[in-house]
Amino acid sequence: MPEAPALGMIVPRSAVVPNEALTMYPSGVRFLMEAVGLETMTPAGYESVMDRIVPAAQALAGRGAQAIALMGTSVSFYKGAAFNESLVCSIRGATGLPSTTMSTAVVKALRAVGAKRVAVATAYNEEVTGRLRGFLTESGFEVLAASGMGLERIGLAGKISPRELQEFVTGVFRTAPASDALLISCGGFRTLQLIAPLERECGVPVISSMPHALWAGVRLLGLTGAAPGFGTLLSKI
Amino acid sequence: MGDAVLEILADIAILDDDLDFRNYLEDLLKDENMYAVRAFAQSAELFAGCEERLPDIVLLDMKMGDVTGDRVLEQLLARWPGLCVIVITGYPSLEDMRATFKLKVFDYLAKPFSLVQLRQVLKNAVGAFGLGRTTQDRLRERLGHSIKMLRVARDWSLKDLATQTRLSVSQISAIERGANLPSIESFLAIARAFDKKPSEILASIEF
Repeated sequence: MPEAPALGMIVPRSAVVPNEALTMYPSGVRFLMEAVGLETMTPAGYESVMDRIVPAAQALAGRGAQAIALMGTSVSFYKGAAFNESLVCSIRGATGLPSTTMSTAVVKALRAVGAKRVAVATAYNEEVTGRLRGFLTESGFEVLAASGMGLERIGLAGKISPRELQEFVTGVFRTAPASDALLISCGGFRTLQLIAPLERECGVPVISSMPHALWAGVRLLGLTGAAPGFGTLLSKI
Repeated sequence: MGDAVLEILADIAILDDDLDFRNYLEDLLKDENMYAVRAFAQSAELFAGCEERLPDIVLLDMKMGDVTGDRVLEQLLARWPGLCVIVITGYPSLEDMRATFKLKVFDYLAKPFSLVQLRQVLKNAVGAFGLGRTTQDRLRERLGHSIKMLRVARDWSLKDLATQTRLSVSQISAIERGANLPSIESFLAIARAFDKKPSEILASIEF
């Protein structure tokens, strides 16, 4: 029996395999983690970890990763689409492995559900949310609404209760009901179990950083990425 | 620059709708400095690219959103039956793919694959399809073969063709074996003997 393929994940802070990964793909894939020690979701915070990304990718390749995903949406979108692409190129160039970022993953996922006009709910402060708006616009989407929770310290997003998060996200969507998809941005949010209920409530596909970055990552390994029960896109085989 | 034509080993077209994987393959192959590489996200773009310039090798991802890879494969091989297609497929379904397509495609690469595996499959394809030779080599061999086929189809001997073209039997023989390229005058005479335009013969061998 061959060993399951391995996805290497460069994560902002905690090098623990996220629960979402184990819930979505309980078998057939291994997850390897390297943390870069991000402290805050601010441009200064992102700058402070930039030099650690490529070495982390190389460490993952050395440990047997067969594809690399840079997790943490804002760390890759905060300087725009070209910068995001340059991060992917750097990782790919340093490791020789297929690579992606969480920002690329959400764009792919939005395109996969045919989204054109999006409502965006984020964990970030106003400045970082504005940069996400710019990134999505550059990527070809019309952002009808974008609102953030104003969180800066890493770790706080994971402490938001599901009810609070659902209320916040639906509130953002209500300000732009003409949106044809809803994006929840921040890998720290625990959204996996919320995707299907939110889709029922809002009536549009919901794309969320962590689940859909995992989807994009395992697809680089040749898996379908399907995780039925967790919303429109993840239910596709 | 001297007379030698500096040539790539093979012209490769990639079809993969996953941006990251497409870029990965394209970069990887370009870095090898041995291949001309074009990458396409959609099957319609690939077909247009093939019409413009037929690649030597197509790397075809089997899992695409809009159109399934097997449909694209079917269309590719119907349009260009001799095309070298290497299928890239997902980790769990390799055996299924082998069973389904073993007669139609040159080889398979299962994701995740290593650079070593990719290099080996391409090396095999280059060898099997006689790629990587100079344009003159390929023209000489294909043209010779084509002339021989046209002669045999008419039930002509070498001497018959030599008479028709006013070339010697040994000249015709050397051209058919791919040892020599015919001169322009000789080629015109050969095409006339077969009642064809030279451009028709060249087009039939994809030159």
